[in-house]
Amino acid sequence: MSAIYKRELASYFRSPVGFVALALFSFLSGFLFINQYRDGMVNISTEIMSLCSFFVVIIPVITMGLFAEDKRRGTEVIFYTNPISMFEVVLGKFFAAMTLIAILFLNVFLHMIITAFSGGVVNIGTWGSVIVYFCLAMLFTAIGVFASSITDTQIVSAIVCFVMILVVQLLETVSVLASAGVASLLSSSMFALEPDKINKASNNVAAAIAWFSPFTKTQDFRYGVFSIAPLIFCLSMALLFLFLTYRILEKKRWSQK
Amino acid sequence: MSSKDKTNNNEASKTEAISENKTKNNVDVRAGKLKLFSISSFVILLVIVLALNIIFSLKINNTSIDDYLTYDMSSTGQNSISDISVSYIDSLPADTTIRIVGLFDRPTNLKDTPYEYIVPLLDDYVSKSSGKVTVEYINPTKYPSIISELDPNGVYDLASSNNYVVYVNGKIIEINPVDCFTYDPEMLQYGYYLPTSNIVEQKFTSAIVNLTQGYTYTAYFVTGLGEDSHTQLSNMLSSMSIGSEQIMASDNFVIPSDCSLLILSGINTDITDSMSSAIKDYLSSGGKIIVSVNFFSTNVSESFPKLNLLLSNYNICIQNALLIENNPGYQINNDSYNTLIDVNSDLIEYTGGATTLRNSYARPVTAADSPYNYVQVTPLFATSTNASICTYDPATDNLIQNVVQGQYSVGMYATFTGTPTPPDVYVFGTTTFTSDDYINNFGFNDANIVFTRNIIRGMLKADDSVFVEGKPLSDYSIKTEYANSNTATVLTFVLVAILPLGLIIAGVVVYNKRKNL
Repeated sequence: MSAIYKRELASYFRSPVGFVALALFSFLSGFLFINQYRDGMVNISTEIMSLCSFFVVIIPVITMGLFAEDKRRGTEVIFYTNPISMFEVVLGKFFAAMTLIAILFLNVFLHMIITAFSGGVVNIGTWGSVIVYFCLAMLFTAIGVFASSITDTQIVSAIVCFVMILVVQLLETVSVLASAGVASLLSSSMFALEPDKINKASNNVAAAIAWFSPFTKTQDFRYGVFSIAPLIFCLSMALLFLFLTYRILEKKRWSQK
Repeated sequence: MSSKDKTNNNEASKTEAISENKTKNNVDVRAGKLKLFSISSFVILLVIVLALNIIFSLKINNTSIDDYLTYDMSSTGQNSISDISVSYIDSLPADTTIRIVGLFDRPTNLKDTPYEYIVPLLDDYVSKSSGKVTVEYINPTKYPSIISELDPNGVYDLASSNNYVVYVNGKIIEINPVDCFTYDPEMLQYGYYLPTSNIVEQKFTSAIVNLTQGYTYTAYFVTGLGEDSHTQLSNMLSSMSIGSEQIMASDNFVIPSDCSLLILSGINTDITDSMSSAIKDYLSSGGKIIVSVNFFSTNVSESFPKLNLLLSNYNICIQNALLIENNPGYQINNDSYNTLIDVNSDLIEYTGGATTLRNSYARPVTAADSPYNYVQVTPLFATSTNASICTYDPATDNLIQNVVQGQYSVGMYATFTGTPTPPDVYVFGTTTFTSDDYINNFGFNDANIVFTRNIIRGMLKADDSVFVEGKPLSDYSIKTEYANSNTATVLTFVLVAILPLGLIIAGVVVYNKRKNL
């Protein structure tokens, strides 16, 4: 696994991908930080949680080539012919992507140092936000790894990853729309339910959809609320996507198509 | 080839075909099994992951495991309710149902809104109440029936309020999110709401206390005398289970029979004759009164003769003069009018240990010349021995300073001895113990306000064990000497331009060097 990890990590810096991701991230994080700094109020947690909304752009760039590029070049056969578990391959690539994300995050550490030196607040709540950032990053990186494994084109992989993360980001909005839709449907003459029942049903629909949104679960972290359950949600879902990726790659061993 | 050979060949090809079929069948079976294993292993993991997360968020008695694994890491404790609230809610019977309803959709973007301090805190009420408190967000425009459900008699205007409603056994208290903070009074003058502290928990816990045990006492604020607003003082009283009502000053002034405490807070004009008579009757039957006045541009010519006549029965006199503190050690920011005052050493327990309190544009409040021994007066606070006074001269419209220096009292307490129902009379020559401006500026935890709370508790034997103090707001400000425009410009240049550009250039260099490899 370590050989794959080192190879993948090095490959980020042997091509422009790693530098582009770094440049993009440092610009976005720098912009968010400076906006606060100019106002004389710096809340690093707000910056970190705002950066989470840029995963939709950053993660596809980082993960698009993980498996798709190997498939395109035909080098994936090495994984199947070497005596290593395919899950180790998946983990090696996943951790390489996570390491790049950690390197990107050095920008935020720089902002934290500037804030601390400027007499601002860097407290335990800030570190809570850092933890949730990495948990969310694990989830979305796992989605990106999965997207990369189902295609042999980097662009398609990036688009699939983008769409999947976008859908996750919009789950909260979708829940509100679905709730309103259910409410209007149930209040129509076809069902004509009592307002209480309509209220309950539409709220349940909204809650059920929003339950899948990691952003809804973690939104209070920026205010200093630290909850274990959202972290478990992110990590377990990340594990699920990594396992799905492993199964898709393993499919080649037995699939007759 | 003989027929025997042909037969042998046919048999051999048949055997080969059978063998191929067998191998193919074996591969099919193996592939099928692997496929089944692959799908089933994923489904099993999916079920485990979903079950694990559902277990964490499943609510039993309105509480989930998630609630127990949630921690408040804010520096101000803004997201968690205090032990005072928790223990009060714990003390309620197990079947108590406290319903908090936000009459709007649950806010999603809390940042820089009052809800940043309200929504997570209310969630904490739910998680720490063992199922006694529920929080819902129901928009009445979508579900109009919620209004009649909460307020069947239509007493409140809930439909367009965008407020929270605390509902217990058919009784409700409405809470406006804007009222959950104290505000900078100077900014308020210009129409800006600059919050200075967070009293969200105080408001909601007070509402819960008052709905579950009812108001024990009622305080009446006298209005119509150019008085200060009393929103924050009412909040404080509410947190002590004391309801607040108003009585308008008039010539037919009557004090209601349920009046436990009469408050004339920061009045600027004198009382009427009928008020004087009604207050005297009220006090003679053991009434309690708090009077606060100051000396400011709005009342420099007011000497309160009728009020002084009334107070003379209790051996107290409010002088028509402005106190000037000449001792720099007592001045706040070298201001002779905003000063410190010494607390009577017998009353330090009322201030939470503070020996000096704040004072602003005060009138001296002194003992009058009552010949009756049963009247007992106690000075509450005093200036330094270097204070002086100045009086207003209406002829010249100027203040005339008395050069003689001395010590002046700024507040007096009077009561009667030897009577079964003695009155309690507190008179402050400053409004720093009662005014909204002061509370907005310094909060409920300030020693002046702690003093007021304690004297009210002493007078009414009111229970303020469930009093939740205000919390500071999150302060993310950086030092102004660093956050100047020069530093910001340099940082902008470095973080938003140089760093990203440097990385792009590095990427281009790497690409150019390796494109032909």
